[in-house]
Amino acid sequence: MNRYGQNTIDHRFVHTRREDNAGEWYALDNAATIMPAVTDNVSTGLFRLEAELDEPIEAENLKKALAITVNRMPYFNVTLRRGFFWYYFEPCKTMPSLFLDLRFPCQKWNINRRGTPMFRILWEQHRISGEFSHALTDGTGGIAFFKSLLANYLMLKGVDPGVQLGKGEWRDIIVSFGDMSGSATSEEFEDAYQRYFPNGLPFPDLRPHAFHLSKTCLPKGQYRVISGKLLTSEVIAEAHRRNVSLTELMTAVYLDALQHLWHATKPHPREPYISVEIPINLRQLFPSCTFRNFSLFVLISEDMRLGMRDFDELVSRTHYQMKLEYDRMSIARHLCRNAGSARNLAVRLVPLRVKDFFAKVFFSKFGESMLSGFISNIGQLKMPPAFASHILSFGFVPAPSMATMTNASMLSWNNDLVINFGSLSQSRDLEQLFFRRLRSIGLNVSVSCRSDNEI
Amino acid sequence: MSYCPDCGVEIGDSKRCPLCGALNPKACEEKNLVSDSIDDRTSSKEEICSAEKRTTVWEVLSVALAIAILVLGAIDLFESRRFSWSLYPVVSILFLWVELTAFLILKKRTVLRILVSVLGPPLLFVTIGYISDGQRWALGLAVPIIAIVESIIGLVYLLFEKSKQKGLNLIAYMTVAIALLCFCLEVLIDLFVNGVVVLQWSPICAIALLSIAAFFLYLHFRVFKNTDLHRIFHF
Repeated sequence: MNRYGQNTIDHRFVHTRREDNAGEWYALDNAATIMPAVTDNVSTGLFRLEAELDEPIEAENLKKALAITVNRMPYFNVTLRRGFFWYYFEPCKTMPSLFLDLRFPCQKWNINRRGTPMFRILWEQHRISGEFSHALTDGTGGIAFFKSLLANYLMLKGVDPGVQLGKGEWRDIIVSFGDMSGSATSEEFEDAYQRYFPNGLPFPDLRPHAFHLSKTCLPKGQYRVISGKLLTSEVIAEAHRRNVSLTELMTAVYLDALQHLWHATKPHPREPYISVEIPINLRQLFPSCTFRNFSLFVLISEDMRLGMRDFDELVSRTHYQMKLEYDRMSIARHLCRNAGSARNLAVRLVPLRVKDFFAKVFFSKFGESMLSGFISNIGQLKMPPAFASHILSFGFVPAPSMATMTNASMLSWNNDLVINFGSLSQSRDLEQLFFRRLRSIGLNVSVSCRSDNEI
Repeated sequence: MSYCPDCGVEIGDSKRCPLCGALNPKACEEKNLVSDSIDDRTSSKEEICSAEKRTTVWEVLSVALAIAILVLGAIDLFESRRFSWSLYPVVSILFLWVELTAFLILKKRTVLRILVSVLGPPLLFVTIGYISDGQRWALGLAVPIIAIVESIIGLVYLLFEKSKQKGLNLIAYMTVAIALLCFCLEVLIDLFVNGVVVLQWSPICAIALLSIAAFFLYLHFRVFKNTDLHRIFHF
């Protein structure tokens, strides 16, 4: 038992897998419930993980690896269905298909269309990509599935992992070979928000509406990804020199770019605040093995009415704001509000159509309107050395958003820090300001845009 | 390694910097990329090409229309020894040329373009009225009807542009516009024919059309906006 009342876990809300005469089905986790209502063909809610291998991809082996992975993690191979009160996941009747990679990622995939799987695997030459709906999982869950898929693929090609997968350091790599076979446990798809639901806490304070980037969109179906590659050791050294973390440094750079855009907008925008959302992996604060969503966010804001801030000042202010927001108690207030609403009888009895309406209103009023953009850091990826030697690079592309237009995500692989900006906006000013700032503080950046090169 | 001269970031083999669009100096040296503009942001060249294309189309059409005018005039002159019936097609062709000029040549002069395309139709009917000695119907009926039609089209266009969400509301606006047009048509025709306005058919049209428009507006602003149906009708 702890101070947040986990001694009174209500398993009805925690366990998502149910079974009836027609077979099994899954309830959506707390964060996922809003996603179907706010996603469409453009704001698909899909994020992408990709890996570049040292050899061309063999589609047949990849197909087999996908089948093995899905058999072990069947809670990924689901499709969205509408109930009267809530959405639910129904297992797909077939194995997921492989798709050839597209010029624009994370587009043209609407989970609301009946029968659409909640993720898709794409391949092209040396690259394997996985696009996952946020209604299904978060970055950590997506990484676990994707790493398991890569492991299964490489093992099918005869690569011996040399370590025990599914345990210890490699517990998120789940394969089905020999003594490493096993079946899914209920913890893997539990609603961890409900497991750690802290009753009776005050709700978090509402944040003001934040400045949003220009709304001049790329043509429908286009999603531009600009990638920046840096040396992780160099960035960490710079962050440590400033006594901040890598994420805090990058957030400060993001805020700096936003403040320049805000001040360059004439007349100044109505919203005086710029806010950057930093998604946080709750598993680090609340231990859980779930591969469903279990993340929340910290908002770092600055009031632009006070004028332009010096970059060093932004870095230290980001650091202290992060310190204030990122602790178990503060996060528990968010958990209380979000998970509590799904337990409320009055809310549960409201028909789904009505819920959808309110989901859109709440998402617009209290969700994306509060942030100017987000920067998601999935951290340092690790694979067993035998696999790592076959993987040249990893990539992480953020989900497209019509409200914020441009968002960033990053990960580290070996000594490479890859920052991807996904954008629906025609303007590249944010990316330009971001990477120029990195250059100005002495970091070497290599920038590319895949869709430009494919013209 | 290639670096963007403006941003200072490494850009590898990209032809342009992904951030600012500056040409890759290395690629420029190696491949003489002057004519290799494929980037969507370097539209100036494309715009020039597009303007050139439009001018060429306009020129070809102008010559073709001029030939048509000459042929019509010559035949009329040969047959009747004077300009009679040919004046109608000649005036119509001139009107067509004015409108083509507005759309093809005056693309960047928006005000002049609108002015020319708006003044063209009434001038056509005034001229036809003058040729046919029917200035009464031209000034009393044709010009007011054209003025009304153009005003309504302008109004609908503005509403379309102002609409943040484009859906059934656009059909509603068009329906209201048609109702308004019917009403104005009856008023103008009554005034022209009888000198007094006795509304007969336009109120019936208006009642039917306005009810439909109200229903579409209700669907758009109250129902589709707040439900998944909006997605179904999204375009």
